[in-house]
Amino acid sequence: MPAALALEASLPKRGPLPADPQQAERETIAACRRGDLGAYERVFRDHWRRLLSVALRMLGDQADAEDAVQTAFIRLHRNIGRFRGEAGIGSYLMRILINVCHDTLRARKRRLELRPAEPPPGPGPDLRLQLQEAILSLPERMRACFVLYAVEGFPQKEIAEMLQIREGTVKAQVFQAKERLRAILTDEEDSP
Amino acid sequence: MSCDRYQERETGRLDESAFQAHLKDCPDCREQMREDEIITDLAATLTEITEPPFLWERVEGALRAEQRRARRRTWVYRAAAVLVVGLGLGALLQQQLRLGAPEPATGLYTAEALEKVRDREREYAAAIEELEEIAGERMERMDSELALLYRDKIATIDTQIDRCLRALHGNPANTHIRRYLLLALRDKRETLEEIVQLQL
Repeated sequence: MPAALALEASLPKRGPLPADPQQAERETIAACRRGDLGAYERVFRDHWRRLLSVALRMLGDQADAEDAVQTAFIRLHRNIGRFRGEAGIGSYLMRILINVCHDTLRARKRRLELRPAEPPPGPGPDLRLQLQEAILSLPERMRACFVLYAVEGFPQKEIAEMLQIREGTVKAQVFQAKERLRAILTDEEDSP
Repeated sequence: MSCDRYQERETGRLDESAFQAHLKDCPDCREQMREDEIITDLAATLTEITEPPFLWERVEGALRAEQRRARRRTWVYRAAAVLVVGLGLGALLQQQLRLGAPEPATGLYTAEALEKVRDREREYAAAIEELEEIAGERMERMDSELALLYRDKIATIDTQIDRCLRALHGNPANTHIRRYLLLALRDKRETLEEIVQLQL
């Protein structure tokens, strides 16, 4: 057997070439527009982990985070006709989710105004928990920028598109978030 | 910490090569960078989450409920549209018939213009005849509530067409009534087209 053929035979057999992901996404969006719940499930399977993670870091509560993901999908369903496909469906969904989180926090603030303030939580058992608590103390927009950048690893340009703010603002917000977190964590480390 | 170079780099006001050159001689910036890296490395570990049971099932249930609500809203809008079109055409025609007085010369078509309008009416009538058969079959298969709405709408338009034809019997060149007839025929054709194109 010629050497080239022998080499080819030794290589693992390749399956069909993967479909163009952009084309696949366009087809999924078209199916979503037709109300196909199977297409919505594909979007959910691709993005639920990031959505839930961001909602959890934004809201600090598992049940509220799950509700936020559910609400984000309902809003996607209502607005899918207006989605122009300039950004990916994941970015669009994340933008919706961040808005849902803002709404939830506003509603929570109104509820808290009616109740007496709870004592602030004491220092956490480890640095990871302390950081989670500290993230929740950041102002909303700063928190969104930090979570999307440092926790989820989105590029700052994409975060700017998601939140509809300038990229420079994202950079400044992430920087300030790190400053505040550093100050909070350092204080907690110093406390007895 | 007194040096601002790290902040300038982080906020995009200092380019990376200039910052790297500065970093070699600045312990403040090195310290800030190290502390930030601890925070970002730690933050990156916060993504570990487990899939809550039945989350998709909850989302799916909410989407189904949303689709049911949207369908109900569509029916209400369609019913309102049928009512508005029916009332509008009825009111216009009634006003026209009440006037009853002989039309001024400007309200009559010339023989040539009348023939053109009649050609147009015949075109609509032919299209309606063709569409009625397919639309009838589709209405048999569609949701009964929606079919009822379409039947009501078509009956309203048919009434308008009948009234126009009766009014034109003694006054065939009347421009106003001919225009209403044309509008009613067009409305019927469009409604039948909508039924034929509807995704069931």
